Amino acid sequence: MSAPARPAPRLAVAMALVGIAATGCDANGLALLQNYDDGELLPPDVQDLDGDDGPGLQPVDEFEPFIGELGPIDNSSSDRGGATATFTGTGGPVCVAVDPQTVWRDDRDLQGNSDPAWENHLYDDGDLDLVVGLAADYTGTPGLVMGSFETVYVDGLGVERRADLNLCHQPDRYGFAGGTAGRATPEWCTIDTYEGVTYLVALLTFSVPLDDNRLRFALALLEGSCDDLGTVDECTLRGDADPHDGLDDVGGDLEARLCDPPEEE
Amino acid sequence: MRTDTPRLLLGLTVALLPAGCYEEPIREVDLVGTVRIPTSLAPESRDLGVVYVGVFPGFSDDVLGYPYPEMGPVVGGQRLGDTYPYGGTTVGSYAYACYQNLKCQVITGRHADLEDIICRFGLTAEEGGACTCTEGDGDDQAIDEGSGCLSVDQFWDDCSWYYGYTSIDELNFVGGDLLGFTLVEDGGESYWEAEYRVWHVVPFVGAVVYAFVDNDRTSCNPEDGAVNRRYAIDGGQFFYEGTHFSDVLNYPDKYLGPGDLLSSQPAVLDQALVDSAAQGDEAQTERSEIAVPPIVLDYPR
Repeated sequence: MSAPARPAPRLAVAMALVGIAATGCDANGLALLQNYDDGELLPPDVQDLDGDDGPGLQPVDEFEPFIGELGPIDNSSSDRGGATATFTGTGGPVCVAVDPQTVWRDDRDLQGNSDPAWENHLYDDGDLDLVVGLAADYTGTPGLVMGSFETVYVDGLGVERRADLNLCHQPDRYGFAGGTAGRATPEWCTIDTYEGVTYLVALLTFSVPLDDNRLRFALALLEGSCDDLGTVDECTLRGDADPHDGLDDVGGDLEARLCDPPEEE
Repeated sequence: MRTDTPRLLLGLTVALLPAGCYEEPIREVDLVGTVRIPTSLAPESRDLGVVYVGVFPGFSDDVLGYPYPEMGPVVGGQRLGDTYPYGGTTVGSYAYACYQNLKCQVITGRHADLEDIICRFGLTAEEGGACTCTEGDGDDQAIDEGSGCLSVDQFWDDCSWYYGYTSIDELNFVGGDLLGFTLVEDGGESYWEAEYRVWHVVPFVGAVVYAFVDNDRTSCNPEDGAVNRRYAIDGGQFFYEGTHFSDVLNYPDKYLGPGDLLSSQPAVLDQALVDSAAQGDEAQTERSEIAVPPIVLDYPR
């Protein structure tokens, strides 16, 4: 007796066809990477901001932020992206503040959706982590490789322990040093400096805006304490907004609208 | 009929054999010992704060002018450096005793019953009232009849409601069998003595075991810990129950204040002590441990 004939695999064939057809509708996941642009994968962007046009020390009561722009980062790599700048200690307090870009409207908005509240994605904003220390303690190479101020401390019994010589102490939720702000949120700290000693500011890129993988930021190195700035918020350091983010129908520069709202008519 | 059972049994036996032979070379051991606090410096054990026991690379009593562990580099605006402890533990911990005004005050292992807490903190039934108790120490005290003390029944009712417990035994901050300190006599001196166990420490030769007691409760962070458990039905009010700061052993000086007591002579893990670590029995049911000499907290900060 022979086995009964198996039915034709019509269902399997149909499912395969549907599957093949669906691949044509698949989104390009590469676009979500922070180092993918114009069809290619890019190396992390590391910049040395020192130079004639770089950020320099300014009075805390009258300053113009340095506006920079950082490119892609590779989250799957140990090579970090970011920027560095140096300044010479004054013998007094120096305030270092940075404001990473807030993406007010991304490319999708410009394609027709006009609800700014709905389209303000918190996770598409830029994020920079701020660390400051003695230039001699920095482990990176400006313009080539981002580093840190982490080093090894050998205790009295010869045991190697990790030590972080970052002088920029930002409190975390519990008030301990080591905190960082989230996306689009300014970071700042005041450090006491020795006169004539070189200090280094490192901006470590944590996230770049997804719309163009370009992260604008406003940076200020100020002679004095950050307490003299009063409350530090989105409007303290102006210029980090992408000029292309603005929408004509709401008046262009959205950072300006937030910080200098038009008077009610 | 052919069967594979013998072969299966043989394979299973071979697979199980290595498990009995495997010896994991773990360097970490437990440190066990006692801390002693002279009764001349602390008449009542219920007043004692949390005792912190830490294992540190070194120790000095002249760098800061008082006994203090070795520190790492002082970074930036910090006043002192990290002590880089190898491990540590506490005797007692902060407990939330059902009322916000007791937050960061009540410590486990200090009170035999609720009446003791009422008398220790003068809890009143009404705001502005006066609570008095009979003379005596700790367990001997009793609420004065007719004074404005909170009643034990009311205290328990409130705790029962807050925690949802049905027995006082469930409260971790009261109980005669939970008391951490016992009174001992040694060399003509009397001490409050409590046992401790520091878990899983690499016993470096030369490491010191240093302890201090935070009697003024500054090591408690009132803005941390568990969120109040009756948040949803307690008028929507939100608060934390309070708990230890997480860097007490790293920066003891931040929390040392008037009334606190330090160990002027910490115990040292010398070669003999390190070698004494038992390796546990064959069944690995016991951890390796080192018995540390008593640490006396006799130096008022």
